[in-house]
Amino acid sequence: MNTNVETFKYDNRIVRAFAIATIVWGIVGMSVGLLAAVQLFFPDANLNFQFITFGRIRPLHTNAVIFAFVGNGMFTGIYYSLQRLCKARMFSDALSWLNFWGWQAIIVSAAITLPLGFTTSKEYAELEWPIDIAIAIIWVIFTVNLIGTILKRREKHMYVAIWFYIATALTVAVLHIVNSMEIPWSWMKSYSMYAGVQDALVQWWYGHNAVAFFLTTPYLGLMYYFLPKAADRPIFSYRLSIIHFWALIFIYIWAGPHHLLYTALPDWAQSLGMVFSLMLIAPSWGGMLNGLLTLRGAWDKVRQDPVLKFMVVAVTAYGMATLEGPTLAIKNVNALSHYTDWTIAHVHTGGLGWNGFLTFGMLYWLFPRLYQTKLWSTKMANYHFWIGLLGMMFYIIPIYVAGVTEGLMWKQFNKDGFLQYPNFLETIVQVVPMFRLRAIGGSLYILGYVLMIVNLYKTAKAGQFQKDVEAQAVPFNKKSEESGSHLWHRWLEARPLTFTALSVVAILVGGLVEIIPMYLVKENVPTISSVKPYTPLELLGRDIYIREGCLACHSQMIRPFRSETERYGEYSKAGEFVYDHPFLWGSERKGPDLAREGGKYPDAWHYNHLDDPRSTSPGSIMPRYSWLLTQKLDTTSLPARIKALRKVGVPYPAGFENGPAQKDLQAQADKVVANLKTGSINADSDREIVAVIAYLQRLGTDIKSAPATQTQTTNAK
Amino acid sequence: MGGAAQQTAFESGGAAMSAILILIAASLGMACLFLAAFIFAVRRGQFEDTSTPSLRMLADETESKRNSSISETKSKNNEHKRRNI
Repeated sequence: MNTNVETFKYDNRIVRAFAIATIVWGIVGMSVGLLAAVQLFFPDANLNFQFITFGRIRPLHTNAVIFAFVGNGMFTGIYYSLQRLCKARMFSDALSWLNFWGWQAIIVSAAITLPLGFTTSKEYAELEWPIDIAIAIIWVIFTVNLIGTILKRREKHMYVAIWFYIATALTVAVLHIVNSMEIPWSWMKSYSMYAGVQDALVQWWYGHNAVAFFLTTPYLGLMYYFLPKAADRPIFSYRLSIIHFWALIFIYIWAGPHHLLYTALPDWAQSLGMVFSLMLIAPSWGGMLNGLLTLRGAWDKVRQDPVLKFMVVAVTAYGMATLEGPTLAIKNVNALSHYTDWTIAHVHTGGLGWNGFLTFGMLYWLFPRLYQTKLWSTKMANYHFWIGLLGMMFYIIPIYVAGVTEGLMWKQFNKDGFLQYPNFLETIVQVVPMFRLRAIGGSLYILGYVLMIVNLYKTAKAGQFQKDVEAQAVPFNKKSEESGSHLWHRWLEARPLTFTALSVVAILVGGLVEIIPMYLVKENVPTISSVKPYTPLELLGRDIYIREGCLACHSQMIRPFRSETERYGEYSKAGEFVYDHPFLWGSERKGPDLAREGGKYPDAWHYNHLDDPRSTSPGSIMPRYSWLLTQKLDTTSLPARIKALRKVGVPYPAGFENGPAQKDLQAQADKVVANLKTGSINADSDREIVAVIAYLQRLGTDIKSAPATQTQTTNAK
Repeated sequence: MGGAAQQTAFESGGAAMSAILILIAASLGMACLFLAAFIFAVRRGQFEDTSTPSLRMLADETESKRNSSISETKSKNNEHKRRNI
């Protein structure tokens, strides 16, 4: 039996690199989040500096904490545990380091481009096309490294964590590619291939599964490795872990439409999403219970060991978030919760609790082992735990209160049947104190994080890093099992880079196969005759609206409730969005819905409001956009934009971009300037503000101009 | 005229739901892939043993003492502790 024992080395350097990256990007992402939170009660915290204004740093925060902090955390845990579970070094050191540096380069490019306003506007997929391609390539490299390691493993049985890693790698690749289908019109900008309701459906299929397969499955894998390790006892039920894994991955991918309940998405798709979301409770709680029950009879350990404390809270937060998620996916609950801060509270239960605390627990466990020493200060780790937990409470509870308050106030009618709070601003002013408390919570969470950085740094200083850890194992007899595929494996193991290149080619070919039918699809023809493509000026205004991230606070989707139609006008129809590449429905209302903004206020009001929102709306928390008044409108790229849109099915006439478009643009800009003059404002027609006003005045007006018979309201509620 | 037809187009978004075909194809594709992986894994006997894998994964920190079983290692650790006390 012991005759062919093989000696090999685990690669700890790559683990350490990812761990350091996790720690660094974590503090960056959380600090940006805090800055965004402060701007919600103190708008001038952006220093009137466009690059750090809420609309631009909100995607920076979400991308940084999801893909930089949790992403690196995931790689840290996978690179550590996979080698040990497989009893093998990673497939290829070169791929490991390509994975590492490629991922960091992507993060840096995100940190530069998002503040500059290069965004696709699709949530958690904001990065523009060149970075999207880089992500696909780096992800393939990671997947090859993962699969390669599994193939050359010396342990026959694949521990359940490995299955979670495989599901993560494969599914994220598919999600990313399908949702990132876009037509570039410049080296950094593109339009989504899909329009309106289709784009919304694809986006939230992606968005939901990004949570499922980026924030959940890899971290469940980590839980199944690090929780038993830290507790030094086996998982409660290995059988349950296998069942809940397979159930989870088969159900998760269908739940996306719950992000679009009561929108213009077809009803049957909404119901499908809701049913699958409810079914998800079972496998999710399977995971939570398995984690918690592992500690049965060992609660004395939990009391003493900060690592286990972090993990217990993480698993509990996972359980709460996965009960709450399906609850929010019930249509009746969603009617109240959607667009409110309830959603923000929900994701932060998962983010701060599940992902954050599990990462902390893992790092506290990992560092002493990487550096062959004891944790520098258990007491300090305990302080981190309690301060972090307090921070979470101060974040989540006020934001729940804010969310429910918003939802109730928006829907409140008075005795005479009018809206109790017809002015949206009243409802947001009401919850501003909650935003202040939230910022305190966030600060506490970061304070705890800083304690962790000090503690881990001191631990590293005190210990000695061992970059290669020697281990021995007996390879299992592959020959008898694999026979035919054996040679192929041998070949593969020898050529990691060749195999990676081939995989990239395969993914790209697959991508092309998916793109080509898109060109053949003709369904994007308008279904409402009065709905027309945007004029050139409106198009440029819309692109500025995207650049500034206006959709972070303003939805463009009126749901069919009386409370919404009273406030905003006729509810939104799927046919209104056929030229929206990308869709801009939004997911949050920190300001009123803008789907029917067109014609509600004069041009001059918008001018003043964008220059200084508090001049027209005292108490408003909207940032000033004074740079729109001075920056010149970029008209040189207009032909490229029109051509790109025509490619995805917007029927601009042939040759429109060579002359007629520019004339049209100038004429409309002059009209806006003339309108502004009647409001005694002198503006130049070549400024960005003119385009933004033109766009805002267009919103939702296509339906208004349609014959009255078509806009009969048949509201359900 | 044509009001009724247009009304339905308003409500359903017309035929403009082709993207859902891509999503269903992608989702079903993933599901089939995982199903195949599941069947493959079952055939290979991956899930026959549902108790020892959870114990074995705990043992890999003690590679240097790989001749000793888990329980032995544990009792040794306990002995060390007792001595230290």
